[in-house]
Amino acid sequence: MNFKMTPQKLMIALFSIVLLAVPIVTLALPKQERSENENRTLKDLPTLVDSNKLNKAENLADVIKSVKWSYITERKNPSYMDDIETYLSDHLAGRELWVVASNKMERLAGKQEINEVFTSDDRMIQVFKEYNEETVSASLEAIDIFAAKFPDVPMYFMLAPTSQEIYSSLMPSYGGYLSEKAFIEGCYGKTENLTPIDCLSFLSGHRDEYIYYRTDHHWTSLGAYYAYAAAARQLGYNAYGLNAFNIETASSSFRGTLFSKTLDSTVTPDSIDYYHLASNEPTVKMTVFDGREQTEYDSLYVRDYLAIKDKYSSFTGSNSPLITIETDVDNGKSLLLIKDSYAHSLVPFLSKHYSKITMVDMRYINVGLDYFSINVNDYSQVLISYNVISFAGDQNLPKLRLTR
Amino acid sequence: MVFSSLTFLFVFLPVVFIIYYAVPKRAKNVVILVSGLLFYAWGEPIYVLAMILSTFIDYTAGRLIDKYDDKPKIRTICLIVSLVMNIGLLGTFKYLGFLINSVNGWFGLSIPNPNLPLPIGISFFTFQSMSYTIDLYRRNIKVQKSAVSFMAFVTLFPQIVAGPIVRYEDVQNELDNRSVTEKMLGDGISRFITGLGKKVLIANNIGMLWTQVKGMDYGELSAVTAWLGILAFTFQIYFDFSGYSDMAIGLGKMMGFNFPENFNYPYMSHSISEFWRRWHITLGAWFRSYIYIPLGGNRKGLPRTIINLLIVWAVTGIWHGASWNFMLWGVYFGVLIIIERLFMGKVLEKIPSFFSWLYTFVLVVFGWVMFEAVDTSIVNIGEMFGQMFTYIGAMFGANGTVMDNTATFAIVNYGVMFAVCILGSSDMFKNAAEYIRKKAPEWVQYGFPVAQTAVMLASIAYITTSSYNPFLYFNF
Repeated sequence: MNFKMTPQKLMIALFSIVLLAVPIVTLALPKQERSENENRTLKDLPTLVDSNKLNKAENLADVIKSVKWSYITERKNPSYMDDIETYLSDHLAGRELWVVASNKMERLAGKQEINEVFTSDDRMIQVFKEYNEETVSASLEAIDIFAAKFPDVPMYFMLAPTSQEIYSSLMPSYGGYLSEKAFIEGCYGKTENLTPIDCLSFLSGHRDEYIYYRTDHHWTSLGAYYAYAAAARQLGYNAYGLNAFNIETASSSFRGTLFSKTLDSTVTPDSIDYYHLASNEPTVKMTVFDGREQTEYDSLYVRDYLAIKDKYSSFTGSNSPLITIETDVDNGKSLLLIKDSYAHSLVPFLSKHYSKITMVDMRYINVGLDYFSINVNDYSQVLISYNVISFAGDQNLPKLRLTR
Repeated sequence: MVFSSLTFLFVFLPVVFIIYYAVPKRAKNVVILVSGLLFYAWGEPIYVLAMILSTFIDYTAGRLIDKYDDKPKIRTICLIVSLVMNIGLLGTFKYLGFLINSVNGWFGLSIPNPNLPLPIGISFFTFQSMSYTIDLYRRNIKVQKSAVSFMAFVTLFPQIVAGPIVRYEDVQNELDNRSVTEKMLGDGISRFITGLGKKVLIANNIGMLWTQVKGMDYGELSAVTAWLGILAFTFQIYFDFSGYSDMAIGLGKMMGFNFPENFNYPYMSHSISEFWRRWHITLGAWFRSYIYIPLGGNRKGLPRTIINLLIVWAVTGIWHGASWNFMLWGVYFGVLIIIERLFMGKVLEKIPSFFSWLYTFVLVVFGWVMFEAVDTSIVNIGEMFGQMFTYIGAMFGANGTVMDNTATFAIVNYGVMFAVCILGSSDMFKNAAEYIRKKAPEWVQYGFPVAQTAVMLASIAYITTSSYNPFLYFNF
């Protein structure tokens, strides 16, 4: 055979290999339901036929009717064709490698943020650049009215800074990053019926310690400890000193939500620490209600989560509408905690001071608290605890009006 | 369907090409027809019928024009039917809503707007189809007797949604008799990848900056931000549009067609007239052949030439979208071209070439403000002009700030991209490649396919990751 290589032949060969190999490998590999690293469910293959209708079809007309025509023809997003494209991109062979490669190229081209994550000095930071003032005003008004509705129960409000505020010196001044300090002060100024808790200055003072995860948007247990120390003064008790705790490092291979957004594995993985009192650690009973059923635990830590990627969820389990914690602390005090996920690593500290803590996540509740037989007046204290970014974007606090 | 999608690259393209190369010659046009309809229907599942209707009427008109070669009246009627139908389709889908809104605005009426969607590429395929019946009427071309071949011409998927505007005479021979050589295939692939890279790696990237600036309050933009924003769009539309043309030309080559070139480094032009000889070449040629020259061109004295130019440029403008700003954009270029004809052209030839380039580039950039920096859903002309002038004002510091944090952020984050855009808009890479092809030893030539493959892999990575992959020609 007389074969002569030419640049054109090489081009044809390389192009054909890429065009054929990618779909073939994609089909050959087992289909993934979830992307563990990106921490999300991958798209299912969109179907054009309503299988229920198709199974009941008795004639051709029924078969034609079982096709979801509007899914194809309506110019709404996403159409069937859009969903096919999403499906392909979710299941493309080596998806994570493509994502990593493209993010690397973005960085090389000078992009300082990937998916709203700023990376510098071995640390990923979720950026806070804008928010909707109306949303925030509505939330503030709702909690202030809520506090006024129960004048006999002392209510406290704690907005926790995210790592952007604490490590703002790592970020360029021209980046348009908002001051969380100003945001927090603005919010505190508008809620006269609640006692503000300033944890920002406490955390800022400890910025050189390990108070925020490098690859996750949450604070670490140590960060939560300093917030607890700040809150304890207002809540009327003495916080335990740091030396009162034994620290258990439950995992040192935690890659969190910010890693999921960038898949940048050059940043050192985090460790998950549990703080146990060296003596007199209260025994607890934690009841998690996920909206359908209740599960009981005899610890605040759900260690099953340490085996998977989402290790932060080992603090009181992943986000649930309602968590009830009963302890053998014998002071009869109870706390209603209206919160986001920052509170999950805070609550182990708070639990040393209450007989009962009820944690409510307004994002998963569409009824008044009384629906769950929660009588606000029964509680000694109410703490509303959010981090700045989640509070600024949350639209669920106005649902507090539903509570009688 | 768009070229820069995984659906196209990994499903449509391999399947269609395998079938296309596998079937015998006489079946290849059937493959083109069926794949073209699928390609179009993937984006326009209903209005693919409009395309089929248009094709059917033009094919029939063509056959009748040919059959009654000696009956001028019948020939004329057939041509008129074809023109009315094509312009009617374009008018109904593209301009009816705009017309109703404008009339309602002027006379305070409330005629209901049917809000018809604009089928993708309708401005391209109606123009292509019309070129056939007009040229046939003018006896410039021979009739196409095969319905399949004619339909293959219209539905030829590479050029169906965003050009180049391939006229029947461009491909009439290849339509019925073509072959793909190894060189055509290799060069076609290379051209396709170049276009893919221009669209995905450059246009989509720099376009994100423009999207960001466009979303800000024009009344608060600093001068530098305003300039960077519109420059980002200047590069986005060039790399996006010429990238699409490159992909189309490349895919055409891979199937044995030689489509006309559509862009020739327009941002290197030294006059507006030259810019339009280098930008969207096939559109300019279409308007020249079918409007400007029939109107008399420049053969009927200066006043008529000026009127003809204004008509052509107003139509060119409105072709780009049913909105007053596109009309203004077209007339703006028409006026500039008239001025260049009257005296400016001679001035531009005399001044140092840097200044004639700067003059052209800056005027083109202002053109893009008219084209893009407005909300085209605004019906009120005054309001639209207000928005335009606010933006232009911002470019001259009317908001009181020259430089701000947004501008610094844009420079840091998009500086590399701007550098790539500037170099890529010049013919530097082309010249370097030609030099290497001629002078470098043979083994170096193998660097081209390797580099192109890298570009392709990078593009796939971006398509897989990025949610920002816009199609810019919905207005066309």
